[in-house]
Amino acid sequence: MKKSIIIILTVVIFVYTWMYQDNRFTSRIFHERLKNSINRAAHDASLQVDKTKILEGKIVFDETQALTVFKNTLSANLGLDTLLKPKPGTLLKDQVSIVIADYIDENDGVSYPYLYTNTQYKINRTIYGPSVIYVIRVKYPIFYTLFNSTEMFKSVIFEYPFPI
Amino acid sequence: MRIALGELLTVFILIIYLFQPAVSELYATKSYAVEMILDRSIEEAAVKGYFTQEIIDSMKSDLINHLNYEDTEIEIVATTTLKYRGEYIEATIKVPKGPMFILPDTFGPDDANKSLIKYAKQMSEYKP
Repeated sequence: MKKSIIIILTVVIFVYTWMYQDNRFTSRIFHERLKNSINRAAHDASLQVDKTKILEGKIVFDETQALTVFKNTLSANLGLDTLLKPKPGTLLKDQVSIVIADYIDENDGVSYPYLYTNTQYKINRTIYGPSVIYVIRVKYPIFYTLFNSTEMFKSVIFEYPFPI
Repeated sequence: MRIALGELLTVFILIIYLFQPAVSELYATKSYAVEMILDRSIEEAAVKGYFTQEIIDSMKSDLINHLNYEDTEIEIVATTTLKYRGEYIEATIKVPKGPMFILPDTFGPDDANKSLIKYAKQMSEYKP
């Protein structure tokens, strides 16, 4: 009887540890892919500038186009649809939402280097040129309901890649 | 007979208990490494406007030297024509997945995808 209980407890502990490790592995892949995807999306958004202002030597972001491109690239890299909902069979399980889309360019009249701060999302970064700033909200993908899924915020600041 | 069966079951469980975490960790690290190789390469390709033969060879070389893949096992599909700033470039790396379970096909045939596939897409920065 005692042996049976010990074996059962050992198996339970092992299975729980295995599930924890699987979730940890998924979390590591998720973090890496999310960071790469948001970086690529911000990179593409930073290329969307007003071409008429470029002729005057000014970098001014086309904000509408930049947001559209950000969503398109993020969707392509994370396997999302046009509404930022995950497609079937992809890593994420919940919709992604963009909570901040901010742009620092010639229209803001700032001088560089410029310290960009956002206390709500704990962003403090010195930027050296016109930049796009995005913060997205995502939920950790989990595959075992024993563990709770939590929300996280991922931010990115990307400077305009010169040359003009 | 009963004791023999018990011993056999114990060995079976012990093999899984001792070695499965390492197999899972190995797979996770391999997946992570392939993602990093792809990410580094697409950043380089974005500056040049396309995936040059040097970039593709560098990706293959990293996969062969650091992850012990064979040349014939690696499949890389990438944008090889020049794209100007604002046009998309993309790449897919497909390599064998390797074992994910220490005792494969034990609980039935493994019909899952046997390949590890990583995909990346971003815009080119190239200006003539």
